[in-house]
Amino acid sequence: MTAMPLPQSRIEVPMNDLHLQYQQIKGDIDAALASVIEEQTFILGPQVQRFEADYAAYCRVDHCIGVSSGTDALVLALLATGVGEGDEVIAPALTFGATLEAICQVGARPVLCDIDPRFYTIDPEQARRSITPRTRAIVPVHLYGQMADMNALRELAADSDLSLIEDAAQAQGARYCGELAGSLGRAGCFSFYPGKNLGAFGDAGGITTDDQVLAERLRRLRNHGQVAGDKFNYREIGFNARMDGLQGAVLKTKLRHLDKWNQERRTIAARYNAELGDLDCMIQPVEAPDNHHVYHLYVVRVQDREALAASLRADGIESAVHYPHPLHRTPAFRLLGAGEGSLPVSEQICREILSLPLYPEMGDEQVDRVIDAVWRHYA
Amino acid sequence: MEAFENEMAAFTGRRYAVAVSSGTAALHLGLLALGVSEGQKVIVPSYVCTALLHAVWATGAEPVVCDTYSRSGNIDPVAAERVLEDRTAAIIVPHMFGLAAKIEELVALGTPCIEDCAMSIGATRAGRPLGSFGELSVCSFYATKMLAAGEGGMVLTDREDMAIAVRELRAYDGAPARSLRFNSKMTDLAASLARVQLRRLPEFVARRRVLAELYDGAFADGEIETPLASPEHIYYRYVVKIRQPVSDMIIRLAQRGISALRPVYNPLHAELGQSDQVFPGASQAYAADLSLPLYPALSDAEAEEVVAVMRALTIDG
Repeated sequence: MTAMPLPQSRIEVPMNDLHLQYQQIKGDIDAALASVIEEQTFILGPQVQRFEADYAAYCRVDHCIGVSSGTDALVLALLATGVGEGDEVIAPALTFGATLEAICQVGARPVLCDIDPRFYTIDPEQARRSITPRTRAIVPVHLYGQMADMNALRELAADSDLSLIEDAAQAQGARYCGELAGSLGRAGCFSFYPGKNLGAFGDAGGITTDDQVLAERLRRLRNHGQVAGDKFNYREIGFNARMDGLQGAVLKTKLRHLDKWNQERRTIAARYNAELGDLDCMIQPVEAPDNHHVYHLYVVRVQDREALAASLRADGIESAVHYPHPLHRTPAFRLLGAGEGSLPVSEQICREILSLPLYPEMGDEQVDRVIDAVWRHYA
Repeated sequence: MEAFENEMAAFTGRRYAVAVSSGTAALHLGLLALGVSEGQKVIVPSYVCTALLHAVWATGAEPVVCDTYSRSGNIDPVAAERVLEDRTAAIIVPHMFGLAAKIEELVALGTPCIEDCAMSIGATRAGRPLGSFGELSVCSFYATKMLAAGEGGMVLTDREDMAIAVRELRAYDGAPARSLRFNSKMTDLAASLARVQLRRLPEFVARRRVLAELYDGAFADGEIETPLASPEHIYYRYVVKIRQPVSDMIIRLAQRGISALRPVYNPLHAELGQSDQVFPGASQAYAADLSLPLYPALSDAEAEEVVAVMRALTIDG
């Protein structure tokens, strides 16, 4: 994330404002946190268990495994589905680095795919062409809050016997043909980083699955390879990747509001779409057919991104770029050998995208200010 | 009438032009020519006059309303795509108040588009004349339109089968009564008026642009939001957005001898009892839009009077 930071005093419309969300539900959150402190159950524990049960029910899956971050969710899901050294994993070139990090950390090699130019999610046709005998899994990213083309990807995974692991870090509550993010792959990986649509008070993540055996393995892997009730008898080499009790308490409390917050995000996105749509020079986000976009980010495309960001900044409005570099052009992932021009859609889009402020608590006047500032810039 | 048809075809670059009795008749017969009938759906934007609903209903098809952008009032192609389905037989695309909609994006959806040029003859989109996009284009020559012939309309198309179909539909006389026909001819009298108007159209457009520039300059301080500026806009209506309640403003202007109007009677989604929440663009436009007097015969002094009163009622008052 390359934020374009402003001195605190001059930010009048921030990208996000977590204070407002906390103030809305302060009583419930404080009580939930106090109960963890009373119980002194700081690692996993009853609050995490309750959140896992609630989140599994919310996503309409059988299991949710609370872990320490979205990155760990990906690492554990890849490992648990048998991805390892020598394997290839197909992933989109436009995403947050953690998607690829996780693949590399389990010893596999990411194979990057270009994205759909309208929806910014992985192009299933390219994914099909990228399959080799070594391909073990596909990790579609539900970027900005919109799910990838899961029907096509499920078909692909079934045809080639691949694990489909959803990177749903930005898509809590998003739906595809009515099915929730995290419920359409072999495993769904969530980040509950504070700024997410459902955010903890620190790092936290979760994995959803309907697969009982996979769920048991994930519970073991996150806790040093131990099985509940059989402490210190390490079944396999695992990780320290457990969700904190305090995070479970926060997430359980916030989950009750997720649908309302997502609806508020959609309402603001609809206003942006309606009021900025006349600008021929700006490409707005498009909700794909059968998708329920939850607008974790509202990302537009323009030819003069830096100038627009500067105009907004001058008006006290924050903006950000998610993301300025396609992953294959960053130093860490150049080793993948994908040269300039090899993933043209991702490369072009990275030069044009700008995220405008959007969060559920954003007031009408703030939305107006952003809209007016954009229009003034192009007047 | 034939001469007028030929002139309009030449003006828009279409192969065929078929004059009819009104803009609504042009829409109705155009839809019929496309084969639109009961059981099918036709997409119409919310922010437009109810003529579109009546024309669709007349074919037995069901109108499906989609949202518009709030600034221009033009149809949002993404909103149109969202309501597109197998039974969608056509999309009607009006260019609101003289500024082109994103017609090429709508045409690209693959469903036949009827370009509604009732407000926009003389305007262009990326240099190409409106009236030349889509399967069919329809025009209105009602007394207040860019080409004012009292009453009249036209269907423009490049498809011979469409032109033949509309010609057959518009008149019953001298033809076997085997299929439904109408009496929807344009009169020669109206056509001759329209021909004179067409010759003067460049002059009308130029005058409208001068007046729009006068208004734009006078309201540049931002209290009143002026229409989207585009060199391709012909300002059939000069629609501003105001912060004050529009109904009150209309009354207060009327008390001072100025006739301002809502540019759209009521959004179609509201007419059909659908929620404003699903149509944020059209709702927002309807809530704030006010159409100020602008026509070629308006004098500079009259326009300045409009400015003075508007400023008194909003900025300074």
